[in-house]
Amino acid sequence: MKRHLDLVLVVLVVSISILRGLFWIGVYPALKIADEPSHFDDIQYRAEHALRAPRAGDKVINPVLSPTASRELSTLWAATQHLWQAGFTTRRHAVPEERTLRDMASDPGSRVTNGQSSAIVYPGFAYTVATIPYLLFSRASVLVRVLAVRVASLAWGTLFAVCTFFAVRWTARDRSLALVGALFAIFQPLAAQQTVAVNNDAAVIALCALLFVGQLALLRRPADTPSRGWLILLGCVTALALDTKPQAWALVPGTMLLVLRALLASGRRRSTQVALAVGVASFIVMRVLVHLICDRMAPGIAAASVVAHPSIGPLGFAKFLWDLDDKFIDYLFSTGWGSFCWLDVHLSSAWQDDLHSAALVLWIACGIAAAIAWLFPDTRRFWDPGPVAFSFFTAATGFMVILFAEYYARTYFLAVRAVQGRALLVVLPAATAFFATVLGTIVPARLRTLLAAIVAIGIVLLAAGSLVTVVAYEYVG
Amino acid sequence: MSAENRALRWGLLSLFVAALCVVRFLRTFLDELVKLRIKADVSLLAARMSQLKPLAWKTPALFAYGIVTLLLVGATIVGLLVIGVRDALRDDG
Repeated sequence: MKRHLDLVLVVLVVSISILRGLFWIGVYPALKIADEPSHFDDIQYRAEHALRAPRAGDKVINPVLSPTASRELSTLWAATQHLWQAGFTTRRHAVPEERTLRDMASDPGSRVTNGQSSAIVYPGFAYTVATIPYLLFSRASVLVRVLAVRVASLAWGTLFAVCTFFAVRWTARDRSLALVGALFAIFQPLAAQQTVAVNNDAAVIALCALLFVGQLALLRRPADTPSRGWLILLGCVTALALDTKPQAWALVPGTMLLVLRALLASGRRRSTQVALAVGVASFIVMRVLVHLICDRMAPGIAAASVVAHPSIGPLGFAKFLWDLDDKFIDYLFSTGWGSFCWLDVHLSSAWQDDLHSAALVLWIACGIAAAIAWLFPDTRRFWDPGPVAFSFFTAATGFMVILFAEYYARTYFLAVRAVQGRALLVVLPAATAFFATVLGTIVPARLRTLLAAIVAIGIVLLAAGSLVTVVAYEYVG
Repeated sequence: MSAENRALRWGLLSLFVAALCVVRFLRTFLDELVKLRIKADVSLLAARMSQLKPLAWKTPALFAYGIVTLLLVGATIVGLLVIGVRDALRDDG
């Protein structure tokens, strides 16, 4: 019966995620979420010309829309730029541009692109997968294909929400907190946006969420008998995540920690060594396979990604951390919660103030929860120490990896603020599991569900607020 | 005072603080909604949101997704509240 209840909650999470996503997909104008044109250009190149990445040319790549993008994509971009704020002049529900784009779909020449968009620097797993919805609607208008790819992102987003549910469920062992954790993954303003966009972020955050759940599953078993099935899953998913976006590296230290734990606990036991070898082999096989199918790393880019800068090192990173200013942390915070529609519009300052207050309350709650755990160690706990510590480790590692990426960008590319807060979404399930446990600790068991309900109301209000911000900006001005 | 009563008091205080945060969120949300309502004509907004969208996302399909989502999320939160209040009032003795 109790297992059955988990299944009911998962069905509820999936339903909410899909319906919410369909609504969000329609609210955001086509191509208006950051970098959508360049991601779509890459997908179109793969769908129309080859599954693998385009070869990088020697010209500087336009960060918004490549001048060599397909004619239909350029036409849609021009239309969506024009139909914006004061650009709307009619009360009709359809505009002539829709017919133009429909007519263009039957002309193969209007789909030709050489794929020289800024997305060329990313590994290609997510783009190759996104060719499936593209090809399913290959005869329809480019507008339909853009939204079909957004629906594929929603599928990734739904996986992300379900994984967050299990991450909290296996950490805090409380169904109401797990449900609220999943609602947070669905409605966190930036996650809600990224999981309905034409991009590779939706795939990387979902794969990292799956990776984290796999790590927790491994952690729940005795250290000396790791499950071969979960190890194979971890190997394959790690390979796919790394072939999607670089922030997936944030989850790799956790896997290495678990492998080390198994090796230390098992000594020289042959079955454990075989299981670990199978996990590593599955990672290598999947990495090679997906690279052969999806990627064609240009020599220049490959070199840039592997050649270390002489001044990059632990001491330099430590100095970077020491000198880190509050403004950059504020920037990460604001770009992690609400930078919508090509960074032109953010959650208002009133929302930012509210979020800062809520964050302060949460940090105080962390202090209280730590004090309770320390002062009353014999209290019957609803959480497991191992998964809670591992969640904290993963969230903290993710934060450090993001800071390292910024340090690398500043040193190597001389670029400041190259990393945005949304990169932290890869560790959102871990952070959610940790903070859900904290919130559950500061109230007695009988008040836990009520607290979960109050937090859920706050999450949904914030999401609704983010949507009002987007509607006001895009359609009213 | 028993340890259980003390925990309950601290718990109620935590609930109160969480509720205050949510009230702040609600106030900000309503402020922004009112601002949008003053600036926007709803039927014009519905038309604009339909433009340059495939049929499956034109009004009223778009609003249908929104309303069903709202109902489902609303029912989930009401369910959590009902179970939460029942748990809070249960007599453990």
